[in-house]
Amino acid sequence: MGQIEVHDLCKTFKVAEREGGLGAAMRSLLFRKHRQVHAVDHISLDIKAGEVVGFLGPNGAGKTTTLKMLSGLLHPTAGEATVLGHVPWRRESAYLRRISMVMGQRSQLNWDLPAMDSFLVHLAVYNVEKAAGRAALDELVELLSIGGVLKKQVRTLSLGERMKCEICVSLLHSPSVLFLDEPTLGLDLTMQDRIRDFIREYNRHHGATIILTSHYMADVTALCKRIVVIDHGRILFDGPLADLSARLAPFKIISIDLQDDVDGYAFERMGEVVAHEGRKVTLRVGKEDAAAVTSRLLADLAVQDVTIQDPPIEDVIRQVFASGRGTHP
Amino acid sequence: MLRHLRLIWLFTRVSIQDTAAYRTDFFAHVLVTIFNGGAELVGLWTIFSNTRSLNGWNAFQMVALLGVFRTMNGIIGMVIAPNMRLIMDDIREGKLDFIILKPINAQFYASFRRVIVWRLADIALGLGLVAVACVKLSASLTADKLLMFLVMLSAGSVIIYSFWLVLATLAFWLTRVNNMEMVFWNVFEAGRYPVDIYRPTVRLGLTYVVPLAFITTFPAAALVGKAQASGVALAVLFAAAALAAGSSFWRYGLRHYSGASA
Repeated sequence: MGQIEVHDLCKTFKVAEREGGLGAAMRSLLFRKHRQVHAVDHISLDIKAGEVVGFLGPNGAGKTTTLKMLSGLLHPTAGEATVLGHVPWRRESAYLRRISMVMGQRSQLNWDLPAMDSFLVHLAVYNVEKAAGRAALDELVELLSIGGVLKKQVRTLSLGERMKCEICVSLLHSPSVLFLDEPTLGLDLTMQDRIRDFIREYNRHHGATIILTSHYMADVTALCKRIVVIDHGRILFDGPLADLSARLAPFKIISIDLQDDVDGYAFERMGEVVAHEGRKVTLRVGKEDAAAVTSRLLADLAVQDVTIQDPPIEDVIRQVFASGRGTHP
Repeated sequence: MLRHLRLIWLFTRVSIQDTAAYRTDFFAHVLVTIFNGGAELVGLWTIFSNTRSLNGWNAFQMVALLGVFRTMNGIIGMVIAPNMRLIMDDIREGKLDFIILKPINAQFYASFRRVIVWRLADIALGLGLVAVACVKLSASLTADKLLMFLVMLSAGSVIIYSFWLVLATLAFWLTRVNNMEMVFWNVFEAGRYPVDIYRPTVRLGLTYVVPLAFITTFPAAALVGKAQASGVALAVLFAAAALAAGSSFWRYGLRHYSGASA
């Protein structure tokens, strides 16, 4: 029994469609053309307590729509889901009390007030007992190191400081399930790292289940053992990070440094030439051919150095989305 | 219930700190309020130097009406309008999600989270005018009239809240509804005169479409002895119906927002 169970979840939006120009605008006032957009198309998932799962996919893939259905904001068009034993979109307060949602591009803090005031309101709204609230607040302030900015108007905080306060406020009621939608959006690299460290720590200490969406690969590779790749509303891959490249991109990257300049050697017969600059050549080769190609290269050429690597995860993902191809687990 | 009152008190306290940051605004607003009140009194004085009664309302009865108008203006400006404006903004910016995900009634939270404290100046001025009128009319003022006045004032507040809730809820379908607020305030200006001075069709509109009569004329009428017990009962019924209608329209809007009705 998973903590989050999803069966064939679908969400279809009706989108009004019109062409550009004044004439089309006038026509659309009277005759609206609608188009069905399948934002989420038969998604099934089973997530256990304490798991950190990363949803990966390009913009508009259906990641956020899925999160919105799981948090209870949206009703699905079809399908079922239970989270913590509740049907999310009934929005029972017993359910809402145990979850939280952070949206990287939207703020739930009052910008005219110091963050501390928003924290107090949050604790009251969630009816958190005084001592528990105090303890949660102290812990989060410490972990996020935001002690110095609590009394400053949120409006005057830097984006990174504000994001830390957003995360703090959303965790004050100690949720068991946490939905993080692009939590590192727009942050610089150092701040992204600190947010990731915090999320990892928080998951370890509290055992909270976390679903995270991002289009920064680093977020996902750093935090999530399990990856769900979504595109066009469908799951292309669901499994351990390590299997992702094996399943979706069964390639190896072979890089060689040559001792001398070589002209006329047909590298393209060995595999796809990714780069060829002077004496450095990088090839992409099917996984099963990697050993043969390498020994062939070593036999044919005077090689100074050779490395064989898995392709970078970014490339794997980019390739998958570019080809629109995927395998169901 | 107690928890909700405590929350309202917390929202108010936080809002006071919020508005305290804008002290000059506060003083400017108090000045504007005093100026407005003065101008209205001068207007009344001009009318009553030409006539002894305006459709049956004498000078101090009109002062009472003016007091009610100011008080209501303050109530709307202090709690109702700022929260409804916030709802419209949140819907447009997609921030209503955070309200919906709170484990308390979304309508309650969305209706009380902001209080513009300095609008208390309007309420103070309004109640001051009502008090002056009461002293001048003390010969005929009785406890039951005062009670009827308070009930009417409460009913009026509920009715105007429901009216605004419907306006705010329209934002689920129409992305720009802020212009309607301007229309409201312009119509609301008519509330400083008793609705009986307007032509029957206008009067009907000001009673049941934009329910101004319930908000200003009727409470003042109760105070000065122009209302029947049946009128009070009607106002209470109308308030209950308006609140029920407004709340169900809000819930319908929420269902539409989350795609449950589609």
